[in-house]
This record gives sequence, C-alpha cells and structure tokens, in this order.
Amino acid sequence: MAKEKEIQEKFNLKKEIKMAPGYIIVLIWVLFTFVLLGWVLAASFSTTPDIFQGKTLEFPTGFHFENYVKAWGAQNVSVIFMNSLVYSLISCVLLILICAPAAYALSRFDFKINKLIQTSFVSAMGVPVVMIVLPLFGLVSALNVLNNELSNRAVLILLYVGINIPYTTIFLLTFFSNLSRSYEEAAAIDGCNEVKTFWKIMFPMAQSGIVTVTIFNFINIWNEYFLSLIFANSDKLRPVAVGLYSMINSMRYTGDWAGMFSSVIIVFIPTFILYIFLSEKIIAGVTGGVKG
Amino acid sequence: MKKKLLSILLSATMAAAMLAGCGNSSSQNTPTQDPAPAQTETPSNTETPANNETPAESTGGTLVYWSMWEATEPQAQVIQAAVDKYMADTGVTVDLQFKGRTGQREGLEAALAAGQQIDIFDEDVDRVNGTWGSYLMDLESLVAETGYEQKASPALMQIARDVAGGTLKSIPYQASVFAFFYNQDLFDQAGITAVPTTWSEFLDVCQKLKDAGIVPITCDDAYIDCMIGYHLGRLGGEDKVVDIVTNGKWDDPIVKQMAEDYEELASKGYFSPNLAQNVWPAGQNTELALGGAAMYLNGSWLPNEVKNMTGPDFRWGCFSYPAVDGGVDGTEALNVSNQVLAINKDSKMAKEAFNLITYITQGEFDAMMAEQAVSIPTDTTNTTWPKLMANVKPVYEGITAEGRYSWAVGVESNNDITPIIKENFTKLCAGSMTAQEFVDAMIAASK
Amino acid sequence: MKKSKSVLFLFLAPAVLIFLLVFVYPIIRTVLMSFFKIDAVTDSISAWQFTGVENYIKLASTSIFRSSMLNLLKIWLFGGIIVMSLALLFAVILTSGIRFKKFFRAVIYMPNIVSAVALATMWLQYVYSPQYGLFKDMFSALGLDGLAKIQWLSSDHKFTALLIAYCFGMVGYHMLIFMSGIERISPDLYEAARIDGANKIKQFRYMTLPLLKGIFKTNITMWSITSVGFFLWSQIFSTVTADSQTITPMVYMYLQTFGAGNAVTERNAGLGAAVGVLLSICVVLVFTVCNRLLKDDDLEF
Repeated sequence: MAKEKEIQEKFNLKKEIKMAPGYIIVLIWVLFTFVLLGWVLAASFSTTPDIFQGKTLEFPTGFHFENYVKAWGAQNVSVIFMNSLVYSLISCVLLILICAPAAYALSRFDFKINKLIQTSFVSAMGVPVVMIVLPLFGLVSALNVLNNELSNRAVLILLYVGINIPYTTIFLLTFFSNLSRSYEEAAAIDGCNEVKTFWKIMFPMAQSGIVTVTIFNFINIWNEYFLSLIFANSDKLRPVAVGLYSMINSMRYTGDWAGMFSSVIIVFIPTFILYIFLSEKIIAGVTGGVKG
Repeated sequence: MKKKLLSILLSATMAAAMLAGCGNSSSQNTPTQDPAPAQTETPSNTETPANNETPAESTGGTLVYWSMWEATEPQAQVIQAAVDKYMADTGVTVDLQFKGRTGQREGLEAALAAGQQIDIFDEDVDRVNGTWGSYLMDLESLVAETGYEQKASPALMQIARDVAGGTLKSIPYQASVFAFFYNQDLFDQAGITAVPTTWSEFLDVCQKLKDAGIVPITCDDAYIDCMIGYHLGRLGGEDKVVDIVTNGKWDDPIVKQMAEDYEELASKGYFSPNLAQNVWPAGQNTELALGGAAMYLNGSWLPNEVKNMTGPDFRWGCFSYPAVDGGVDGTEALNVSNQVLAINKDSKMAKEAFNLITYITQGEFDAMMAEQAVSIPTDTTNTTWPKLMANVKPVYEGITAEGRYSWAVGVESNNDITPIIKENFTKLCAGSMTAQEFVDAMIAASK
Repeated sequence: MKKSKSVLFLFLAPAVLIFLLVFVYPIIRTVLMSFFKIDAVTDSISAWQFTGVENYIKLASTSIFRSSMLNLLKIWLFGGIIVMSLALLFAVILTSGIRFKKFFRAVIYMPNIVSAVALATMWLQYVYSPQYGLFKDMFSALGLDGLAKIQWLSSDHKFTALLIAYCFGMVGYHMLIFMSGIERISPDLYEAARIDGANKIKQFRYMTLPLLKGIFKTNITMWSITSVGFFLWSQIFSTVTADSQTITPMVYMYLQTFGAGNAVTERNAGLGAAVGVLLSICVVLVFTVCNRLLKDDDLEF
C-alpha cells in the first residue's frame, strides 16, 4: 500500500508550488515545536543553575550525561516499561474486540435502549476518575484478589479496559454510522451472516478510526496514573506513569531540575518510538484485513 | 530484551489482526465474543520479565510500611537503609512502599478503609492526626515502656500530643520551621549586622538592602500566602486569622493594618519586580539562590531544595518573622511542621513497628537523615547539624508547643477563599492594589 | 434494518456488561454522595450525613467555584475554537498530498506524548520567563515591544498563558482525528471534483466539510471531555495553592475531596461528588446539542 503511494508521488514542481502555503504553515509550527521540545532535550543535558540562568541552550559547562545515569538509577526502569507494555497491548486489543461490535450495533440497530446506552457512555466520561476509582477499590479489595500478583495484573487490565470502553465506543460510533448500508445489503444477498459481515466487511472499512483510537487508547493506558497508583499493589506491578511521576517528583523536591528533564526524556523516547512503530503496525494489521 | 519486546508486540498485534480482519480463513466464524485467547496467551508473556516470587501474603512475619517519600529522595534512601538494617537485626520482613506525597494523600485512606494490611505510615503531623486520626494506635504505653522520650524533643512530642487531643498517636521526625531565609553575603554587603526582630527593624533592613542596590524580598506564588498569614498572626494570633478567613471577617482592623504595612513595603520598592509573575520555583531558583534577592519567607527545607543552585558554600541566614507593634504574638510563635510516623490501630505487630520507628527516628539513621536530607535532627543527642542548616538552630531552639502556628498561620484554612487571597495579596505586594482596595476586595469576595 | 436479537446481544453484551461492572456502582454512589456531607470518599454509607441539595446550593453561592466554571467555559470555548481550527487546518494540509506527511504528523502529535509536567514546566520556566523567555526574545526580535513586555504569568495574563500552552499540546490529538476522517473519504470523490474544475478551497468547502460532520461531533465530544477533566496544567501553573485565574472545577473538586496541599483543610467528598455530577451533566448537554446541530443525514459516499 505504501509503495503504491510513493510511485504516485513523483516530483511535480507545479503541484509543489501550489502547496507552498501549506508547507510554510506546517513548517512554522514544526519549527516552533522543535524549539520547545529541543529546549526540553537541552535542559536534560544541562545543569539546574544553567536552566534557571537562561543558559540552557548554551551548555556553558558541557553536556551532563550524569543526569541520565541518576534518573535511570532512580527506578527499575525496565520493569515498569515491561509492565506498561503488557498492560497497554492487551488492553488495546481487548478494547477493539469489545468496542468495535458495540459501536457498530449502536450505529446500526434500532432498539429501545440505544440512545440510553449512548448517553450513559457519554455521561460516564464526564464523571471524574477519582469518583470511579476509589469506590471500586473498596469493592475490589474486599474480593481479596489484590494479594496475588497474577490476579492483581488481571484486575488492572480489566479496569483499563472498563474505564476506556465508553471512550472507545463513542469514538468508533461515528466511523460506523457514516458507512453506507449498501455494503451490508450486498453481503446479505451473498448469504453472509451478520457477524461475518461485520468482521469481514464493515470492520475493515472503519480502519482509519480503529487505528486512531487504538493509538489514543495505547497512549492513554500507557500514561494512566491514578488507577494504577491505587490498584497496583506492589512496586513490581507499577506501570511507567506511576514510576515516571515519582521520578519527576523526587527530582523536583530535591531541586534537581536537569534530572527531572532527563527523566522525562527517558520515558518519552521509548513512547515515541512505540508510537511510530505501533501506528505503522496497526495500520498494517488492519489493512491486511481489507485485502483478504 | 529488545527482541523479546518486539516479539511480544508482534504477537499481540498479530493476534489483533487475526481476530480483527477475518482474513482468508473463512472457518473463523465468530471471533466477536471472545477476548479469551488474547488473555490466556499474554499473561504467560507477562510472567517472564517480573520475578516469579509472589508479593508478601498478609501473614504474621511482615510489616507493611507506606511512606510519603519518593524512592529517589534522600529521605527515602535513609529510610531504606534503616529498614535494611532493621531486617538484618531482627529477622522481621518489611514491605516498604514509597508512595510519594500525592500517592499517600490519595491512596492511603482508601487502603486503610478497605482493611489492607498497612502497619506503619507517615505524612505531615496535622494530616496524619487530623485526616487519618481514626486509624491511629495510641502510642503512650509503647513510648513509656521503651523510654523513647529520653532522646526526643519535648516541644515536638508536645505538638504531636496536642494535635491528637492530648495523647500520643504519632512519632515526629524531620521537623522544619517556617521563617525568613536570607543570603548572608548580601546582608554583609549592605552592612546589616543583626537580624530584625521587630517590624521597624525589618523595614530598616529592607531599606539598607535597597540602598545597597539589592532586591530585599522575593517570593513565589506557592508561598506568598504565608506572608499575609504571618503578619495577621503576629497582629491577632492564629485563632483570629482562622476566624477571619472562615467567617469572612475581613473588616477586622488587623486586616487593614496588615494591608497598610504591606502597601508600604510595596511602595518603597522592597519587593522583587518579578513578584507578580513568579510561579514556583522561579523566585527561589532564579532570584534568591542566584543572589538576585536577599530574603524569602519559607520552610527550612529551602536550603536543601536549592542546593543544586547555590552550591555547598552558600551562607544561609534565618530569622523568625518579626513582631509587629501592637500585635499579640512575638517572634517565638512559629510555624513548625514535621512528618510523623504512625502505627495502624489494627496492626498485629505494634511492638515490631515501634521498634522500626525508633530505628528511623533515633541514633545512627537520624544522624544520616539530617546529613543527607539537609534537615534538622530529630534525636536530641544528635547535635551535629548539617552546615547549610547551622543558622536555623537558634530559631529552631526557640520553638514551643504553645507558640506553634499551623501552615501559613491558618490563612489557607478556607479552600473557597485561598485563591482570592492569593490573587489580591499578590497585587498588593506588586503595588497594583492599595491597602483600601485590598480590604474592599476581600470583603466583597467573602460576602 | 431488522437484526436478530441474538446478534444484537452478541455485539453489545460484552461492552455493556463491563460498563455496568466498572461504572454503574461508582456512578450511582457518586450521585448519591452529592446529597450528603461526607468526610472521605471511602467512608461507609453509615457515616454519611444527609443534607439534601445543600451541596449544590453551596456550590452555586461559592464565588471561587463560579469562577472555576467560568474558566472552564473559557477554556472549552476559546480553546476549542483555536484547537479545532488549527487541527483542521493541519489535517487538510497533511492529507492534501504533501511530502514528508508522516514526519509532520509525528512532530505535530509529539507534544501529546511528552509528559504534561515537563511541557508545563518548559512553558513556565522557558517560554514565559521575564528574564530570558522565548516569547520575550521572539517578540523583541520582531520589534513587537508591546508584546515583549507582557508579564505573562502575572494574574492579568496567566489565563491566556495557560490557554496558549494547553492548546499547543492539544492540536496534534485533534488533528489525528480529523485526518482519520478525511482519509476515509474516498479519493475518487476528489478526483471527480478535480475533473469538474473545483479548486482546493471549493473542494474543502463543499466536500470535506460536509463529510466531516460526524468527525466534528466526535472531536467536540472528545474536546469537551478532556476540558472537563482539566486539572494537571492548572495545578502546575499554580503550584500547591489554587489560583483564581487558573482554577477549574476539577481542581476545586480535588481540594474538597483530598484537602489542600499544605494546609489541612476541611474536606467534603459530597461537595466533590456534586462537582462531578455537574460536570457530567455539562458533557451530556454538549453531546446532545452536538447531536441535534450536526445531525447525520445518513451521508453516503
């Protein structure tokens, strides 16, 4: 798919000139972003006094890699990364499997409680997470499942999925409701049952939405803080966000601002690589379905 | 590591793709309802990176300790060292969890209410005894049995008893005092030889600094309320301050007087020109620590917080907020705050827990704490203070339980009015509001 | 279209079941709590004191809560307009066959995955700094002395400063949503339009925009939900104590539920719950209005 596109995009001066205003606008924004994020990167190699004297970009005392050494030693970084990766991946897959059919049903079927379900999902998203997580904690801890590592992980994943169901479903609703019904009619004539029709025909057609929402879900769950803080009962189960927040905070409290920025970069780089890598993979995964 | 990461990622996405786009295999009929394959497959991946030992069950031999520090803070490292030593000495296992300040504030009560095993926890003395008071064990008999108090600061112990309603339910450590911190070099440069104890002396000091071309006072948004709190406290005492802010009595004459005193500071140019836009930590870092301003009203944690900026040779000075003419409180009244360690009333290992508390708050590890966290020693027999703290000693030794102010002398006791106080008071200090306008604005806001 | 009940059940049951499991009990509890005076969120029901609608009356009469709602409204409305227009602009540019599309997309989205704590600190300590700030340097270099002199973080401008910083981070997210919507529109349609002689702007006005109705709805819903939860940025822009310029209902709720950062203040989780209920109502209102205004007339393409 990507290859076809490249062939189409032969250099065409006339076309490029037409696009010039677009290039300029985007380039200005990108430049601005680079300056800002570049400053964060520079600050992570700088020293605290330099940051607060406005000399971040000058490196008067050279590059300070020891910030990274210190930040890395502050947490068991590989464990928290692995935890987050596992939580996020499983939850994202489950979310699509659960929410895509639901969104499709809500967009297509007329039934009594359709609007009620939609409205409850939307209003649930407005309820502050504190009000959901703390009462749930009371319930869950009474079940005595948090004392075992495996069941604690399962509970965490179930909750990540649960918390993101309304969001994912509402997001995907638009994508299904805009699809033409003629496809299903054609499929019905071919003798495809509804379940098959959905997974084979409709699901792939909403791929741009599924890719996007999975990226968002992934990053949401990756960055999820409050739920993990309350439910991850031991250090071994902690995901990145909790670990990062604790890194950042301890650097702030001890006044090591350069160290804080390097903690930020440590967490940012893998997330960013994952983001690029994942978005490609998801796109490939879903488009693979289309071709079949 | 990388390869494994990649393979897990791939297997999961493939699982997604397989289940999702129903592909060529038409035998796959109803992939809908079944998230199960993914779930049964992946936990086995989950297992590999983590250790296989299960977390401690709530059996007899383990103490669970939830701490407010972050694992990398020096306080946490000292506590960790103390816990390690304790485990080696006694054979009791300690499950030590560093929850961080917000983690503790948000999570502890939920866990206590749910009946999780938590034997020891720590936080600020007022929060532990006030907010979580109903979960605390009475420690009087343990303290009496072990003779703990011989090496404890009487003032701090009295404060701990006062906040718990007359009995001891928590053990203090990491005390701090809230006072003016200053740059001794700048004071020398301006020819100031004695610290001010009264408001008029304070004005003299400011004038001398100003004449020497030095910015006398700076502050950050996070602490600016403490100035108004202290001034009102000196004039009318803490109870009156609390009464004013909770019951909206801003027409009280002491408010007017405070506003006029601060208007004078502002009009004479004693505040940093950046005051109105200092968001923490801009003021303490870019002005005070780099020598751009001379004084800052803050807690004794400040030298530690800015030590990366100032270096180890910065000469700190410290004096209590000056007394104000016609006021009721003198310089002996101070905001003393400290962390406390408390034992859960349901703990089955109270003795062991108390022993661990003794490890942390007395002797070797208390000395280590003072040294590494640049703080005041808790154990009265530990008499060596960290160099950066030396000048706090005279102020700290003047504290009494009776003269103890709470945070910002109670001026932040009303959540509904705190932001408005902060906004208007900042304007007053920045000179963009007069004393009368301040009083009027506060009266109007609390109606 | 008629569907059999079992299929409907199959499609909906897992989502609805988990939803009921995770949300319904806490939501009912929160709604109930808002009619009581409660010290801690986790207090058992026996410790609650029934106060009727007093929490709501108190909220309505508390000026700081009213300003927090006003701040939220301003963030939602002005921030929404800024973010949506920029996001749409970038989405259109990036989907119009520009080179390095993936690179641009990644860069514009990047701020979203940098921790908000770091971004906010960067804005506070670098961009808005009165001594060496990027804005100061940039505006003086451009000769805009008036703008260069602005005290961004003084109480007169703090809200604007917060809004700019927040919007910068949010554009990428909404751009991705717009892009996914535009990419779904069949290229054949554009091809046909081009043959009919419609220029880019006309194509945008008469094709892209109408076909994006549903996407707008999603974007506005998502924007409303994230704005309602506005918390972290506000906290970092006014450390420890709240600030009347930057306070939002979530910050107020947090203060009521867990107490203030330094001072130990009175807590009332019931009041916090009432804030939560009001916020949910706001989200539902926006969603309903959106549904009415941007009704999908079964767009076919």
